[in-house]
Parts: sequence; C-alpha cells; structure tokens
Amino acid sequence: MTPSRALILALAGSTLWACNEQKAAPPPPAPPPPAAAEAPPPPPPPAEAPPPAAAADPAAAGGNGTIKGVVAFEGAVPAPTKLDMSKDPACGKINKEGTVTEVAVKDGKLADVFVYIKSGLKEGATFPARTDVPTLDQRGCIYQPLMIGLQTGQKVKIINSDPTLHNVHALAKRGEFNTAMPKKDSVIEKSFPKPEVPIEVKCEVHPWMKAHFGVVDHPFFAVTGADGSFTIEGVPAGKYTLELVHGKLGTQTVEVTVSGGAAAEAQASFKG
Amino acid sequence: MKRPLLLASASLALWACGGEPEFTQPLKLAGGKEISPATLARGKERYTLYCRACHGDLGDGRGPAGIGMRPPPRNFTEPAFKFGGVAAGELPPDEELVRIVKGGLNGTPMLPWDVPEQDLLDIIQYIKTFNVIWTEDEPGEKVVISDDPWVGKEAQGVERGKIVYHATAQCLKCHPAYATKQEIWDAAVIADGEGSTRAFREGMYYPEVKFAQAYNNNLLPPDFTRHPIKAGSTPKDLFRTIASGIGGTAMPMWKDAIPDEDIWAIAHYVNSLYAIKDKPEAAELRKRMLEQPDWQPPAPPDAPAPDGAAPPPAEPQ
Repeated sequence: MTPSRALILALAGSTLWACNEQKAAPPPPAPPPPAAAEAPPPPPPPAEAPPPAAAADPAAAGGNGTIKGVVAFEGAVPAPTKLDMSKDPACGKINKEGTVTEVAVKDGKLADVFVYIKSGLKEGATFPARTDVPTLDQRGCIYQPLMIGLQTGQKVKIINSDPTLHNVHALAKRGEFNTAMPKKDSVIEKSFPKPEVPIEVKCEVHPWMKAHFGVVDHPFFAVTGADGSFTIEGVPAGKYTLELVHGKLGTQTVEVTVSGGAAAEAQASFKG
Repeated sequence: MKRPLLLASASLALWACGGEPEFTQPLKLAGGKEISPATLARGKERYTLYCRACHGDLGDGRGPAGIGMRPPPRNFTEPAFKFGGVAAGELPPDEELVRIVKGGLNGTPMLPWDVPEQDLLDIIQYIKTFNVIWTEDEPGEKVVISDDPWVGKEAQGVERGKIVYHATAQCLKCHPAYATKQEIWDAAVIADGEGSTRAFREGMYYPEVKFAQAYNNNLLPPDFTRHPIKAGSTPKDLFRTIASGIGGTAMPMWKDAIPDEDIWAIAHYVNSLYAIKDKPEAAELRKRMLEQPDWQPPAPPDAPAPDGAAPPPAEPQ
C-alpha cells in the first residue's frame, strides 16, 4: 500500500468513526413509542377516556381475582404540619387549625397510599377504562385528598372551595397543566395522557399546597382509605409486583399472586 | 477487488459527513406528518448557522455562547415551552414557533431573527429531532385570541384591568401590586361585592420569586414597570400570554378562568404599566405605594357570626 492510499483509508476510517459519534447525538428519528399505549398495532390517539365498549379483554374476564391489603405505619406518628397561612387570610377562614395532615395514621394504619400493579400484567392486553371521576378539592388552602389514583384518560374533577385564587399546576413530565381558578366553587376537569407515578400537583400561590396523582395505563390501582385498607378488583390471575407510593414517605414494592379464588392478600408498612 | 470497494465506501462516508445523508429516515411526527431526510439535513445546517451557538449541537441550550445566559437558552431536549400560544404544558404548533423566532423574546439574547422563511421552517422541523415527544404527542390547539372588546375605549379597558389585576384575578399574589391597599379593597368590592382582600403578602409591591421545576430555576414574575415583557407587550401579545399561561412556570392558563373581556382588560392595564417602564411616572407610582398611610381593613362582615360559617356541603368522595 502506498503511503497516500493508507492515509486516505485512515482518514476515511476516522471520518466514519466521527460520523458514528455524531449519529449517537440526536435521538433516533422515530423510535416506536415505549410500549406505553395499551393496544400495540395502530397507535391509538392518546387515550381520551377509552370507550367502555372497547374494554373487557376476554383474558381479563376469565379468572379474575382481587387483591386486598392493609398498609400499616410503624413508629411515632408525625403531628399535622403547621402552615403559615398569614399571607392569605382567606385560607384560615375554612382551615381554622391552619394545618395539613401529610401522614394520616389511624390505629397504626396509613391512608393516602397509592397502590398499583407495577409489573406482571400481560403485554399488550387491554383493560376496562375507569369511568368514575374522583375529586380533588382545594379547601382551606390544602388539597383534599392528598393522593389520587387515575387511569390514563380518566377524568379528575378539581374544585376550588376557597374564596381565593388557586392555580392547579400538575408537574407531569407529559401532559403538564397549570390552570388558574380564581373563583370560589369553580370546577374544572382534567386527565393525563401518559402514565406517571407520582405526579406532583402544587399551587403557586400557596407554596405549601401539594398533592400527588398516581397515573397508570390500566385500572388496577387503589388508594388506601382512612383505615389503611385497599382493594383492587377484577385482576387477571397471575403474579404481580405491587408498588405502594406515599407522597411523603416514599415507595415500597410487594409481590402478590392472584388466582381466581380467594382474594390475594398484600401487606406492607411504612416507617415514620 | 476489495480495495476499490473500500475506497468507494470511504469516499461515501466522507461525503456523508459533508452534508445530506446524515438522516436516512424521515422523522415521523405524531399526527402522521413525515419530515424528509433532506429537510432535516437542511434544517440541521441552518440550525448550525443560526441557533447552535446558544442552543447547542445537542439542542440542550448549552451552546458555547449560551453558557451563563440568564435566562438560559431553551433546552429542546426537554418538553417545556414557555410562550407557545397553547395551553401551558402543550407543544407549540409550527406557526407559533415561527412567531417566537421572528418576534424574539424581549430582554433576552433571543433577538427577533430575520431568518429566511424556508430556513426557519426547516429549522423548526429539525429541532423536533431533539425530543421524541414530537413523535408521540401532537402540538396543542392554539389558544383563541378573541376580538379586543376595548378597541376605541382603551382607557376604560385599563381601568377595568386594574380592578381585575388586583382583585378578580389576584395577579398581585405573584406580580407586584400597583395600587394602594385602600384601592385594592375598593377594587375587590367592585369585583366580587365584598372586600375579600383583607391582608397582603409581604413585599406586595415587588414580585415574588417562584421555583420552576421544569427549568430547575428560580424565576421572577415581571414587574411591568421595571422588567422587559418577553413575549411581547402589545395588548394582543399580552392577551395570548395571559390566556395561555407560561409553560413550565408558575403562570397559569387564564382562558376560561375569567371572561376574555377581563383578560383583554388586564392586557390593556399591563400595557399601560409597561408604557411608563423606567420613566419618572413609574418611580412616582412606586413612591406613592411605599408611602401610603397605614391601612386597616374594615371589620369583617362575617365577624358577628359566632361559630364561623357552616362548612360548604360537598364532601370529597
């Protein structure tokens, strides 16, 4: 090989390498959506409350079971958080104590825990869409409740019960919204197009106001009630990983096996 | 005959780096539109010429000239856009991106760029390669800009806007107040029939810093008598910004929260404040605010009620 030819080859090689390096930079033009959507072949329009007709997968209808459980709380229960609401006296009109109970414990059981199937559901299966409309209330300048579970596309009703300005800012990575609600008793409806757990919602006017949504692309979730219990029904038989999410105390996972018969029990506890 | 082949591919590679076929596949945008490799390549070339210095090779807002800029150049690898003319949080349609580039963002290094039309359109397609969101989500619907009801009676619009700004919409919760406490009280009486504004935040004559998660940055809502208004200060521009909200920031969407007429009124009022920016009138206004006499709200109308008002009926769930 003559020197010049070797040089050309070397150059070519290095250019190729350079090209590859650059290629790595911009993301690939059109990667398939990361298996977020329920139905794989034709990507459906980002779930705007899927019609109930398209629900009930035969597989899901078959050996359905129930997951039940109670979430416990161990340790000293923190006192309700005292809020400085002095800059907006309208808040104190309703919330006379001026507090928010971020960790709600009753008889050692923890409320406001979002429980959902994190993994184990059959790929590509479709599930019924939830049609209930939970409510997020802004009352006394705190959110009630502090945790809401939603399926993608499922509507949530947001109410301002305070005679003051709130804005509901959902910090979703996809489907962020931020809406002003200056009037008492005004109501809006919102939904989230993509699953994300948890999504923080905050009020920019009252910086202490914070709540969370758990948004998943299937209907198998629940939020623990005041007694710490939860029930997830209609779950196809199988082995699942449940994730439990509390807005203040973090997350945990629990393995559970659902069969057609008795309800599968799932227990978990958070520490204070 | 191995060598000629090698050489051929080598020269191909050289050619590739020089220009076009870096993109071999079209960019499939959400909604079905496809951007051809040629458009992407051209867009990249024009982007490199006009935008790269600040927005960076990777579109992350960290170009060599962008380091240290406040506010930092838009990071196109993140989904948030501030002034898209759509509901805060949604992706802007192309024509809104054209508007931003041509109009610039006042008070920032984002100048009104006189980029040839086709170059700009190609650049806009190219920046969509920086984030897969463009292949999954369609841009939002443009927020409708209604007709300005205050044309020909702007002074009335300003007057109404002052009431809406300080009372109905409570813009003064984040932006500065530009009225005395007594004036704000009076405005609230006009706006909602009762003086609901009985106390004020500390520093009410200055804006309040807000943290914006989307940009991992503290942002200062503008004081219209001191700061530039980035996305335009005409009533129409202000209507668009107020109605849409500012994506990723504390500024919410106001469309449908209050009537369009009142959004227009705020737009006229803010426009009137901006008109005295950095002028003696602005200093006088500030002085009058800071030197106002002590003020106490009249006795609360619900004071006599012994046990406070009964809690409203609707229970969550």
